[in-house]
Amino acid sequence: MDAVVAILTITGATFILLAGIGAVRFPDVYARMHAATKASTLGIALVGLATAITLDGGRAKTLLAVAFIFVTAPSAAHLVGRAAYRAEGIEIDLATRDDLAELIDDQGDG
Amino acid sequence: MITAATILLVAGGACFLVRALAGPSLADRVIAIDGLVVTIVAATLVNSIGTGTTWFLDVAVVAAFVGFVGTTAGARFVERRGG
Amino acid sequence: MMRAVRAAVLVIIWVGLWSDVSVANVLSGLLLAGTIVLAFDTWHAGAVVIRPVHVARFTLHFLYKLVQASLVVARTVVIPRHRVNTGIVAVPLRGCSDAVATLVADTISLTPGTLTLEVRRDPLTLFIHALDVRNVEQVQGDVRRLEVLAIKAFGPASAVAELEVDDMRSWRGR
Repeated sequence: MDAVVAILTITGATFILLAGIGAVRFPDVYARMHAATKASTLGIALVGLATAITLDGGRAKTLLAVAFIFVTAPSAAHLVGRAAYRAEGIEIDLATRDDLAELIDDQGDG
Repeated sequence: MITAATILLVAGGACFLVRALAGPSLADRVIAIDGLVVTIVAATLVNSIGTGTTWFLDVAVVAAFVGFVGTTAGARFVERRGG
Repeated sequence: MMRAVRAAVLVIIWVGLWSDVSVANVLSGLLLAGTIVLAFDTWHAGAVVIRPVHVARFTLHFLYKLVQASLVVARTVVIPRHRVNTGIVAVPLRGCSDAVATLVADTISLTPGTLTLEVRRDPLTLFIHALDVRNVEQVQGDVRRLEVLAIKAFGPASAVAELEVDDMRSWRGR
């Protein structure tokens, strides 16, 4: 059981580290959001699982914190992505296809 | 094992901090702070594994809530104020 | 009925936060949950149906995709390809309820290479930022597959029946 907890913790911490490296290295706001949201959510899920296995009295709180992050992290990323699209002065790199441009033009201010 | 996990998490947090300080736009900084909060929650959980106590789990829960609210508020601010 | 379910979920979360199932906690939880549910009565969509087998399928698919997404991030960090074809794709969905649309939009943000940017209600469309837009059909297909799984797990019975009718039609047309 100790080995399982150790593997889960180290793997989770590695995924969070990868999320951080992705946030530094990726070339564009949206790509950074991809990295930060997905890898850190999986990382915290693994660390939360390890904590729930080990601790005796704190399982409910750990699972609550992790479930809350699972539900809210994609929502937060969606809000920031939406704001970054509409705000002026933020450069985003849309090489190929931008279906959203017509919609925003139609709606005016949306 | 706890030391190794803590070193990995500190490195991840440092990366998010670099992006928060250097990110050319406000949206970059908001995303980086959200990642930093998730790292803080993970560090709290790892600490709880290491010491075997449950006192700091409340910190983890509250940090998760506050992180989400902060990111949402930051997103509204980005939309109004622009890059 | 839905309000009672929501209040029950809130009480469970409250007691979980205190980590101690005592009479005082449960009573105070009921009081708080009742106040919140009565004061913020904003649930517009219909009842949420839960089908355990399909929920399990959906959860497993979702977890598999989440792990795959994180591995893709890991690979892209180690082997950087600086010429990425990013873009925004519009995916029209067959909408059935707000809850399913929200679930799909949330889950899409955790699958490999996609991130929900905008949701439009009247013809229900999702605007998805994809890291690889060379194959638009694949991105749209992935999103639609996820939506089918979500409807089968959580959607109202009428939407599931529509799914089966569409399945039959595409069989016959073949």
